[in-house]
Amino acid sequence: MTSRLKYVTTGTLADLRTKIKLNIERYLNGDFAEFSDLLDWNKETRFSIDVGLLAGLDATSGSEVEVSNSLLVWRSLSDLTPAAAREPRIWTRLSHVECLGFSRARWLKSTDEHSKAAKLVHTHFFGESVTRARDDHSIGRLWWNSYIASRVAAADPGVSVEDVLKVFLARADVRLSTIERPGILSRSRLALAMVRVLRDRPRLLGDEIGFREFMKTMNRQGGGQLFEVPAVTNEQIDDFVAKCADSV
Amino acid sequence: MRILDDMLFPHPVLWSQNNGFRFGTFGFGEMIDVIESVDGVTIHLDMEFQNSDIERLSSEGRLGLGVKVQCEETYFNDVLPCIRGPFELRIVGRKLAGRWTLRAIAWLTGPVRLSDLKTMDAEFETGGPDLQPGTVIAIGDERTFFSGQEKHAPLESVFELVLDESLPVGRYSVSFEDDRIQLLAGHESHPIIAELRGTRQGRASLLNGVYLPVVQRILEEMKQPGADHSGKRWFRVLSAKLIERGISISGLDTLDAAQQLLKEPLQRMRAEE
Repeated sequence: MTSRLKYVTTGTLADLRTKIKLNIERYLNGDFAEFSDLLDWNKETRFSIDVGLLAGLDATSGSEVEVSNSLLVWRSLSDLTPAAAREPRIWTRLSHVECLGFSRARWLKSTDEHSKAAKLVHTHFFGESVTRARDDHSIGRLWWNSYIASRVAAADPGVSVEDVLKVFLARADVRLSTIERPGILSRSRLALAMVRVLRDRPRLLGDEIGFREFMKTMNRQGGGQLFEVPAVTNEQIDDFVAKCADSV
Repeated sequence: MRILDDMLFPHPVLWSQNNGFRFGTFGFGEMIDVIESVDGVTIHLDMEFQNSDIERLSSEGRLGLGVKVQCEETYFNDVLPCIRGPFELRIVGRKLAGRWTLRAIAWLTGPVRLSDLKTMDAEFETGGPDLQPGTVIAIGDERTFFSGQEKHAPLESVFELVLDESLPVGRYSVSFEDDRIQLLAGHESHPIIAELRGTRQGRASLLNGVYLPVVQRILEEMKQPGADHSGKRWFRVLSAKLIERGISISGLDTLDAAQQLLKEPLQRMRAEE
């Protein structure tokens, strides 16, 4: 069942941000139900949301859960655009209303100390910049995982969004070196070759030092090569990535 | 491919940033017209090049021409095919947001012997392997644009006058920590600034006496490598306005840029006389 995706006003966002400590009990044990029906909390976007799907979010951590949660958020917010997904007012509404329970269980469970909790709220409940929405926001990071993976998967019908997510969310340091680096993952054909090659080389995905060396080798060997043009075939790009992987 | 201005290539590349060829130019004409609509972005460009080797490769059908469009915020990063001369590029959907760049690029679509390039620099004349399809042979200079509402926001909308009792008499200061730049003024300064804002002559005086140094101070803050204000509205508005004026943050002259952003405030003194 879909409805319109909502957002909070700029004033509400600023107010919430300055009152994190004042509201800390709401974040840790309560909710914002008494505000969430106010007009300033209910501005409608032209995008849709399937709130029911979000009930399936799993608050435990780990690579597999991150993959399944990313796919759930992607299906729930299926028509959101990357331009709109930079908007902290959308993410703030979600983490304070529809996904408060998940956001609390996922990011605040490790502490009941108010000062530590306030810092975690600031990091995971607002998505104040593009990088914070992509890397830190409780729901934003899941949407961005899938959006980036969908751009990569779009160029090869044999590769699914889930296939891409399984590779680039294999470990935190792999995400750091890939999804958090627009310079690499925005190059769809190169990223796709990385998926095809790394799927067959699980040892690299399980080895932090080895993976770092692989990325360094790609940077070193790939400088000056334009993989994006039609004159370069997918086989040539796969071959380049495979050689980098096998040299580690 | 990430293209940096200090990038070195093991083969000749026609580019203003290096000496791969002895002469010639490659890139877009000065006028680039960007039209934004709800459906996406339409760009009118003019691809130009002058170099006998590049001309010959093009006439022999061994040259691919494209526009590299890159937007880090949306992960859009594609090389879109183009033609020589004026042409229109359409990017459908909201795929560009915030800062994005365009660059002309040319690559080989078939193998080329290095010795066939008659205008390359002497350093390559000692020989080398044949150039393979996909090899970059010409690069244009990067042009920067901004998509989003921020560029239309009035500059005054990023400022907020705030009373700060802790400041010494007659002093004012700025804080960058909120969505708006806080112009902090002590209990003597605050009413002076508030009063000056009430008249046209007063506003002109404020622009020169207060806002000009304040904007300079903000631009210095924006230049700091470690300062991350990217999530704040004031930063996005000012970044958009700098890009619209073709000013790069990294190399900007803060006094000159501040005067541009405030639309030549000294001139306004005369206009208000």
